Amino acid sequence: MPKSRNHISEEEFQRYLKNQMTETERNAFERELQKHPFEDDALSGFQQISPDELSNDLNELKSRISRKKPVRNYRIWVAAATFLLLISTGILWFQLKDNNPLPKLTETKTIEKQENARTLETEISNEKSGLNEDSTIQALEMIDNYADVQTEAKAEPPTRKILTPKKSGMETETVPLLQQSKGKSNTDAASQENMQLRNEREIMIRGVSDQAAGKDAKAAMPSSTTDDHIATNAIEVKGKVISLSDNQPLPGAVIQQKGTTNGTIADKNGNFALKMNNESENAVVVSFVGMDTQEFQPTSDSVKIIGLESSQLALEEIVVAEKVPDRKKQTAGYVTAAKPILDSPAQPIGGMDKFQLYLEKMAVLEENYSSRKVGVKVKIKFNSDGEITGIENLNNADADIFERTVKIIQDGPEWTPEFKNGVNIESERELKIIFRKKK
Amino acid sequence: MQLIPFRKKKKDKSDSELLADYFENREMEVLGELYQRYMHLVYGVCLKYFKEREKSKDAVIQIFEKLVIDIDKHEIRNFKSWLYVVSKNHCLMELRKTKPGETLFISDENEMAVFMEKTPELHPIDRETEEGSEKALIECIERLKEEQKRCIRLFYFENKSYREICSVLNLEEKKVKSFIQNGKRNLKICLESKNAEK
Repeated sequence: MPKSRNHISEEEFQRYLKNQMTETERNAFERELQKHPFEDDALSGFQQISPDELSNDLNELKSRISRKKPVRNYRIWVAAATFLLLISTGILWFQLKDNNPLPKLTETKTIEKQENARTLETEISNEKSGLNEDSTIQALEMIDNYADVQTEAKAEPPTRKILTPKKSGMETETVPLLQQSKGKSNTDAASQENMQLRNEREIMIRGVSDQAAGKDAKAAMPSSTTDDHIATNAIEVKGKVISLSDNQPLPGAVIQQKGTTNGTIADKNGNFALKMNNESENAVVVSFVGMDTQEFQPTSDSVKIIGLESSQLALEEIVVAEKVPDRKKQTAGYVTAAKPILDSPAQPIGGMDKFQLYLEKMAVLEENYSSRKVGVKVKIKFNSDGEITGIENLNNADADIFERTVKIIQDGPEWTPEFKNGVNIESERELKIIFRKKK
Repeated sequence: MQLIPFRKKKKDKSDSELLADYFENREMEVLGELYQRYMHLVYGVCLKYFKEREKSKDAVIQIFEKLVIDIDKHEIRNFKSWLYVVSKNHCLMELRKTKPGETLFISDENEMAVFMEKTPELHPIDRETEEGSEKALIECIERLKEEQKRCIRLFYFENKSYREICSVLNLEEKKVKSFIQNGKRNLKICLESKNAEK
């Protein structure tokens, strides 16, 4: 009987199930099954259905598995998905970088000034003045005008426009213009003038930004010059958010106009500036994860330092237990779940209640039986697979009744084994069955 | 494959050869071939626990999918034993799910490891007989309870099938199997104590 490939084939099972084997063959087959628990279990399963149903089901399963094969290139899909995820994260990150207004504004101001300086250059070249003083005056005028333009630009989400002209591009452009204006081919002189003008430019820029900075003690944003140009019922609230426990800034703190979607986020130094429409109506809410929220009423041109306190509420700690063996050979811990399961005793499949009902239904005495009712107490032993390995008669019940009890239990539902500390184990349990006469 | 005369056809390769092939080339077909060898057994085990055809069929497919994922997580020496444990665990897990209050299932690594390291030990009576041990075996059989003794003798020494034993002893098949199991267990205990005496 044993095949060269060391396992029993479907055909042999079919022959056995269809009673096509001789008794000797049957014995040999059954003895073989004693050696192979997998096949033994499988046979118990097969005996639940008819042999034809079995062959139909197995053929169906074979075709289902073959169909599955081409689709299941698991690893490739995982790789593709990860790749896509990385790409989209990268794109998102770049988008957010561009959109983030606060830290960039000092730079943008410089860039604006350079753009400004370009127009200055063109002015110079057009008018052919070439004198420092004049150009300074003109530059200042231009800067003021430019500031106006700038505030209008700021009323909407601004930074995109400003960032686009690149520094390097502009600088290279300015040089030829200068040379043109001088009308000299003397490159030394031209470059000297260029240097001078550039220095002037820098001074101008510094001057303007100092001016801007001077207006508010702490804010990093030089937008105070723009206050005058904003509509009169709008105010700008500026400030810094810090943690009260250590006086450190809280970057990423949320500052919102209460009840609206108008809000901003504190920069890496904790600084923020929030424009609001009506100073009297809405309060300003400052919040940060893990800290108690603060509210205040803003007044125009106010610069506030907001200190937040750690919140008393804490989230419940959750412990994730991972089972890792201390065997040296093991390369990775095998965990199929992250939650420990409750121990449970051996139970009949379908539940104890259903089992009790089944027992009641079966434990019926004959009409002509000597007593009205008989109680049987048994001890059932289970192995770690939930199979019944023994049934003991504990209360010396009558042999016939005990025999019936054993049959009832064996004919009943299968049992799941006792589960303790994450393992199926052997167990035993007592059971009481009361035989009664039918009403 | 037919071009190279030395390459075996898939059907003739052993389990470990197929496994090695899969790890090298990662072809799903190889895994499918391996699974199909034991698929009928997986189906049988599922039927034993669920008692329903459709549910068991679905489970067979689920177990295959699980196999594809888990195959890299362990060092598998004996595919058949590993598959047996995985199938049983899957069935038990599904059954637990239908009961209220119980959710997930952690498998014990040691349990898995045992099946991967070696094939399960055979009972002496199922093994090929060795000299000397046969005598001890016969002595122990003498000591068995009447019914267990008779069943064991009929099954192992007179090569009678369960059916025949049933009719000879006027017992049900389940009882016969039960006597044989218990008899084997008692024999094992008896033989072990004899070994200890030596």
